[in-house]
Amino acid sequence: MIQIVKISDLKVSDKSADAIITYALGSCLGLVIYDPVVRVGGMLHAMLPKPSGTGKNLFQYVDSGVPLLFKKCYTLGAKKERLRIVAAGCASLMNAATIFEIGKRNIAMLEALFKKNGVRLNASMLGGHDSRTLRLDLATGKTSVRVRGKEIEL
Amino acid sequence: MSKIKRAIRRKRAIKEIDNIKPMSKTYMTIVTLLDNPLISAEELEAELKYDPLATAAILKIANSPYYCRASGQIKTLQMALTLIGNMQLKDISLMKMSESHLKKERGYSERENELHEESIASAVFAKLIAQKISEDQNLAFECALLHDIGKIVLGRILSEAESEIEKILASGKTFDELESEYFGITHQEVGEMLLKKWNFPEEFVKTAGLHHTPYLEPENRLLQIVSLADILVMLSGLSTATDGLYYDADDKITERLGLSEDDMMQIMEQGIADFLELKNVFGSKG
Repeated sequence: MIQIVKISDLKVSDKSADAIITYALGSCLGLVIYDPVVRVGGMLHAMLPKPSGTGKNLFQYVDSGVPLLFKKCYTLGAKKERLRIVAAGCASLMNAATIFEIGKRNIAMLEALFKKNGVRLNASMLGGHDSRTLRLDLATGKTSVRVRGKEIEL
Repeated sequence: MSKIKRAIRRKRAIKEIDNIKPMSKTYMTIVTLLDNPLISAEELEAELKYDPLATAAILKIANSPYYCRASGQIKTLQMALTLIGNMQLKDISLMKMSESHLKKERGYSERENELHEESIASAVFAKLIAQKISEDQNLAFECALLHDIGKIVLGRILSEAESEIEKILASGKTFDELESEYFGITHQEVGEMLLKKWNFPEEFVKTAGLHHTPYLEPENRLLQIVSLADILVMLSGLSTATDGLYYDADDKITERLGLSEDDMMQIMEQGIADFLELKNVFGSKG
């Protein structure tokens, strides 16, 4: 089954027949983690680095969504040391003022979180000006990005 | 790229405008009627008498959580006029009026309904910006809804440019520069022509025509609002379209509107929540 991750949403699965997809990562961060031994994986689509207002939806933010993605996969049997971690998205507009550089702020928040927790990215496709679709196949852990009709494996 | 080829493509794009079918007459009349704050439900009902589907469609959106917290409460046009008012009903009618046109766009996007969803999101974002700075919320909603309408014309010929697109974008050009270079015309210019042809008011024509160059009319607040809404929708990640984020973001736009970074983040948070509430009534996917 195909599970769709909406904006400010998160999905995890331990079913080999599943694929998890998020469409249209603009400046949002798409993060995939996958444990090949138990074939458990998940995806987060976070819009902003951290809450500025009331911020009720924890999946909306990198600072609260990323830890939840890891926790939910641990619950399904994934182990931190076996995880393959892939990030995509965080694009920016051209000649944009600092105020619009949400993508860069999302990357900075992710890097800070990973540094603090001793986690490293295995692959990434971050920045640039493309709006990307991100997909994870649970059976194989294959993670790919689709841009203008072309698929690129990460 | 040769000037002759560009001139031929421009001519073809302009010719394509004539192949776009006109918008629904029923909704067009309703939108005009609803502009009058003293409109009565009887006058509306008389107009919609022969189009029960249109009445049902309008009431369905009026009952969405975006407009009405107690969903299902609005059962008649009279109730709709009383509970949500003529201007919101005008917004709704304009959404219905443009729905089939926006849903048909194929070219910028490989995904179904994408331009329609982006347009609704822009409208919702523009309304929030207008609310924040005390400008006309309904006019902002309506102009933002139709600001990208030119894409339904250029989208018809964009797929032919596939290999050129990669080449031109790789050279560091924005998407409107690409459109100018390849087609000799941009989706802004085409949108302007289309809305003029359909006799839309000047504000609509102008925002469609200048939404990527708001600095050309820095005093025009409506234009700044629509342009910023478009930027926020691109950043939010609602679009997988070919043009992605290949546009300049005017660095003075938030300054002109007196908005802070926090204001923008809050508008994005609220905008996405509002958009998701409204999108569901149109039966879109994803």
